[in-house]
Amino acid sequence: MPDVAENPSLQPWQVEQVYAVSPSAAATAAAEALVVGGRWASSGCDGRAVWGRCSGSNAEPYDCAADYRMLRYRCTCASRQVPCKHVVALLLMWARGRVPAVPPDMPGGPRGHRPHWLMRWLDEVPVATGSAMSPMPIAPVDAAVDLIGSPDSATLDIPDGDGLARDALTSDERSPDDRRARDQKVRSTAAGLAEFDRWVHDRVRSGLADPSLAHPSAWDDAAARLVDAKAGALANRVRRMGAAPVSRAGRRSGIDARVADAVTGTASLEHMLAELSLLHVLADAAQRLDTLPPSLADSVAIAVGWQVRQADVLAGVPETDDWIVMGRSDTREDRIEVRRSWLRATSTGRWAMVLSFAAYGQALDDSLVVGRRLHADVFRYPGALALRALVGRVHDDGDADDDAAHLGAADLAWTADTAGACAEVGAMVAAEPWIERVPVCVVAAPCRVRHGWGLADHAGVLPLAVDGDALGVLLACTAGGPLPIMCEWTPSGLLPLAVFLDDRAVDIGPVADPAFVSGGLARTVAL
Amino acid sequence: MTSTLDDHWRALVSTALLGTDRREPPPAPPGLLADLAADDIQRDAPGRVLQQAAAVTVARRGGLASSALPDDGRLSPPPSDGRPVTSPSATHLWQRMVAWWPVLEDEWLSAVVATGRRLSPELVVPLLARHRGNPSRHELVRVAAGPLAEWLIGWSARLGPTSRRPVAPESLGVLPELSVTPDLVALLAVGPDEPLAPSGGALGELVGTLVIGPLHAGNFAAGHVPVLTNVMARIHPGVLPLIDDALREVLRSPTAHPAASAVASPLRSLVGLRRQLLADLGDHRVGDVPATMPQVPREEP
Repeated sequence: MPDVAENPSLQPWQVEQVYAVSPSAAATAAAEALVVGGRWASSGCDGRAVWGRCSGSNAEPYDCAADYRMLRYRCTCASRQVPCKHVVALLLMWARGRVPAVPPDMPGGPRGHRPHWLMRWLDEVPVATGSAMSPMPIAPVDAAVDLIGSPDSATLDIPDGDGLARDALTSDERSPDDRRARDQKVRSTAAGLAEFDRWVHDRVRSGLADPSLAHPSAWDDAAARLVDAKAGALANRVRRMGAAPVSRAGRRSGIDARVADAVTGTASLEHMLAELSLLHVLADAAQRLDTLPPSLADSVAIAVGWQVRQADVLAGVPETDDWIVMGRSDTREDRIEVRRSWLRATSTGRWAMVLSFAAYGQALDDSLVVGRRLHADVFRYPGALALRALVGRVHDDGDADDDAAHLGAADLAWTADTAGACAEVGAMVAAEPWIERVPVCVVAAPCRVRHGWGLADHAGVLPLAVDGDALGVLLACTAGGPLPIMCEWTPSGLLPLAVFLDDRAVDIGPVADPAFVSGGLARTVAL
Repeated sequence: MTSTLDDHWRALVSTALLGTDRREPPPAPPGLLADLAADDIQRDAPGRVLQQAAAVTVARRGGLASSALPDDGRLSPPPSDGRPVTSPSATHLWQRMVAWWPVLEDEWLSAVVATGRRLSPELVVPLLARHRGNPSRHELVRVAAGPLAEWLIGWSARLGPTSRRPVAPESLGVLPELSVTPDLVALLAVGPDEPLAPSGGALGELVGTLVIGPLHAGNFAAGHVPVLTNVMARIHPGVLPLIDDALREVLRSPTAHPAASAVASPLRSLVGLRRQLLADLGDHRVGDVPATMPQVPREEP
């Protein structure tokens, strides 16, 4: 019998209401100890009930539910108390907003979102009209589902691709077909992420010394499944791990080399574990976006690979400022060359990152030349850090002969010492723990450190992750003295991208292989 | 806390390397990591390793701190060099030169030294690396770069010459000879430092006779470009403005032979770049000489 009286706009109970139904103060105290997210799985609530699985002393989790419309409680534990401490804990979590609401219109038939045991139990007692104790909002759930849009391109954020923004309509605005398609994509992505997380668990279970990990195909297969699940950005990170030095060492001579590498290549193994753990965090977070703060949910969604249409970003409110192109860095992501251009607002010191993509034979955007200043509208993508941005209207791009294009000392006023750079990196890592690159600009001098090179000032030394010509040019430009140097922080160290001399900016960032992309690059610009 | 964190991290790495089937995950150390383990209970051992590894990774990255500078870490600067550095535009021109007309590089390097300049620092490393197999050029780069070059080679032997063959000082700055067909040798008879009449004098007329006229008539094909390139790379800089104007006329002229543009276009690019390179260095030999090339057939009215 359908629950005709279910009301999707019901509010959760107050904590005091939960205390009121608890059988005893001892039960309440015991329940409070269970109000921790890690104990609960598959929890949810809707217009009639709240449910979840609680890990307890038993090997099998307890199925708990509360029919808060009819004031009935159920748990598979052995307790004779009703409600038991598990149900009270579940109600407390619900009252505190820690149980995700589930939309009532999920496909699969009426109330198909509920577990079967719950449906059977709820059907035992139909809801009487007007028996609701309180209303519950459902909108945040819909908003969260909107967030995990429908990217059609899985590997990279292709401008104007079908994506999140198209789904940013209210449920009423969507056609049933749209909703079904969206829900299908959401389920597909969630299933793919869950599968990937299991794969990560299995790798840790069998050990990172497993010779199968020495073959790129192991990583490529996992990446391909993520691509199928529309988690392209995550797939790229997985694929990069297949190209890590430790894998190559193992691939050359099998397990023996791999075990030997455990001694000599500890850094690579540490990197592998660190990266796998962060991928696990991302995959886990992306499966419960609706429980995250909106800006963090945006960051997770974008880090996983869901997309935002360029047009929707450009429809936002711009940051109009004098922007300096501080650095540029090219990297190959699978079969695409990616150029990151780092801009900094002169009035606020905020960073913005503009991406450009090129497939084989195509040209990367070379309009943002390091050292140039432009007065422009910059539109930011959503996210906790919101580093990624698009350049909109350029009001004044003063060419090299124009005084407006020449930088002065004040334009580099946002540079920091190494301690300040550490603080900037720390703040950004705290906001997005999976971030791989953080822009910093330090006034420092290159120096020798134990195993390589570093950047030093009065506050200390930070390691550099650079060698070859870029290191040579850095040494030549600084001649061992302090200069403003724009770097990308990476887990391996600072990667210098540009050096600012008195009369010029020198671009020393990694450059795309000219055999892969077309076009040239101006690497020295007069200031 | 740092040592505890590092110890815990090493234990996690060991566990992950061997696998949780073979080794139990280490217990979280007291403090925030233990609180995290209690708040976010993981049901299986891999989950505990991943949870703790993620937490330690974020703590280490977020807690990035600069270390103390080693006693011998600071670099001694190279001896100072009072010569003015080449301009930023010179760097851009050099990039174009090596990409399109490397035949000009010897002259440009010599002109840098001759005009009392030194190479801008961003050029020193690519030039040292580029010419390390050619002792003469490498030596010229070292002269043009000054003490900075020796300082850099001291840090990176990769920038040093591949051959220890000594280079005679008098040979520095002498441009290597380029192959030119006998009928065009006369164009190079005037030395680059010899004075030239404002209109190019006899050399200007010779250029008109031997190059521009035949070019207009279609006597040169694309196969002649390498030879003509060598001529344009070595001809007296004083006639470059004349040649530039004459080539422009050929490209515009409707009466020019159809094959002329295939030769005139690359030559004009070379001549233009050579003029820019020398003018950027303040070379007095290139100026805006009035273009008087009577040998170039004009359009019919």
